[in-house]
Amino acid sequence: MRAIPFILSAIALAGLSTAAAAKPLETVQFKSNAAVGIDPAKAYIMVRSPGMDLELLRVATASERADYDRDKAEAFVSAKAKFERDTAKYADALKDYEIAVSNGVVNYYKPEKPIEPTEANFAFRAIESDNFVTIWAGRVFDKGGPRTVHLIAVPPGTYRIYGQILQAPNGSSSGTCMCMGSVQFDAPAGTITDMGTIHYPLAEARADKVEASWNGLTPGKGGLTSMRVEPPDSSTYVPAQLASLPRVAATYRAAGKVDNFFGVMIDRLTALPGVLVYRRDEIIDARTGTAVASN
Amino acid sequence: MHWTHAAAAVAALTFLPGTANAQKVVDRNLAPIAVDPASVPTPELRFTETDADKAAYDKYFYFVREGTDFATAYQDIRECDALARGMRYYAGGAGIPYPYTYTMAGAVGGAIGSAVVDAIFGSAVRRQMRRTNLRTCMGYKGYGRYGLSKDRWEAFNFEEGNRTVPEDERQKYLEMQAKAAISGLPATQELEF
Repeated sequence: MRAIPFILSAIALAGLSTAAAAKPLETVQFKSNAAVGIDPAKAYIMVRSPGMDLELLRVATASERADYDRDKAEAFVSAKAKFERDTAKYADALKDYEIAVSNGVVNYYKPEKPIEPTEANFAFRAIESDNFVTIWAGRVFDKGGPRTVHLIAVPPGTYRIYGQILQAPNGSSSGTCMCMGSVQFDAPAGTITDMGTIHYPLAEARADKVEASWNGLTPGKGGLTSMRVEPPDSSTYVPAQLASLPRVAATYRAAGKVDNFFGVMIDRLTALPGVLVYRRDEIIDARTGTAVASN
Repeated sequence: MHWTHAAAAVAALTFLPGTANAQKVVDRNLAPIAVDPASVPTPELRFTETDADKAAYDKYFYFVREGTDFATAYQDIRECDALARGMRYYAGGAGIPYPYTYTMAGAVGGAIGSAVVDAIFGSAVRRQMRRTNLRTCMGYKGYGRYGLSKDRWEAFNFEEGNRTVPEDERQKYLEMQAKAAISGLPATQELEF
């Protein structure tokens, strides 16, 4: 019975990585009217959103990327060593198989030749796996304005609007990623970065029983997509508790394409005047007129 | 052949539920693939349109963009195929999408979503998601969508729900879809984005 050793081998291959485990970002989303004190080591993100979970993706820093590259390199060395061991076992197993077949044994498991790991074919957890932040729609900080206000403490950094993703406790996900174009912004330490308001134009239009449109854009080839962001201005509602705390408006920049990590529906953020435009599927930084590379 | 079934088998067995820090080895599947267009058969796209055909255009369609060469169309289709099924593409990795790497859904090669979702919604929803994602992606790339009869469509397309199409088979289909995409505008009406 060669199947059992093979499965055990596969389990070993799956479990013997020396790579560091993923470390989810430490975040705290504030409950309704919770007391908020600004920790100078943390960044705070405020957003207004109509009832759907919002997924942000923090851009890994150079030092985090270096750590990740080191972990990946170590895992690759480990995989190469495993391949050498498996190759030796394979030769023996193949001989056993050939002898068994020549002796008329049926249903004898034929060993599979190990695949040599290369830089090109070696898969490793994505660096993004450590950097997703979910702003839960259900955890509302303030209801005083036209939209619910959400506030979350996060590690300082650059954050991208990834999409509207609902992650169930059983590990399943649904929603829509802005994989084909979005914006990002910096969230510095010691202050609240105000993202403004997230709109879901198509869903909101359906709810309001009106034709979806915004800023002259319409759905489909008209350029209006399933999500858009409205940066804050002087008329944007701010909860009284936060009015006296350090606060800056998010400065948005165009962000390139990114993978569909959750395997959900794909879309792109609606063009944002002065920030984000599209030329077909090319993402253009409106400030410079240049194309933005994929991530 | 650009792919190996053995790679998929190894990938499947290296991502068992509950394993931490899993890693796997698969053939690189998203590097540019040089294909001689002359070696790719051009799908038969002519058909006599019936009302039944029109009623099924949400399933049976292909993309066309004028002024596009084969290599560009093929890369565009591969990009959209990868996005539609949640494969790593832009980062250049060979991986299964992150949240599923430790699940059986991840094990089957980057299928959309998780096994739990599949059990709830079923394969039909998965197929619909794929179709919609392809329409979105190719639409943003400026391709028009045109309807096709089911039999013509089946000759160079595949459905992907809870099963995963083997990669060598997939690439052959994608190559033919690229050939169709550069075949010029058909006489039939362009469909909704």
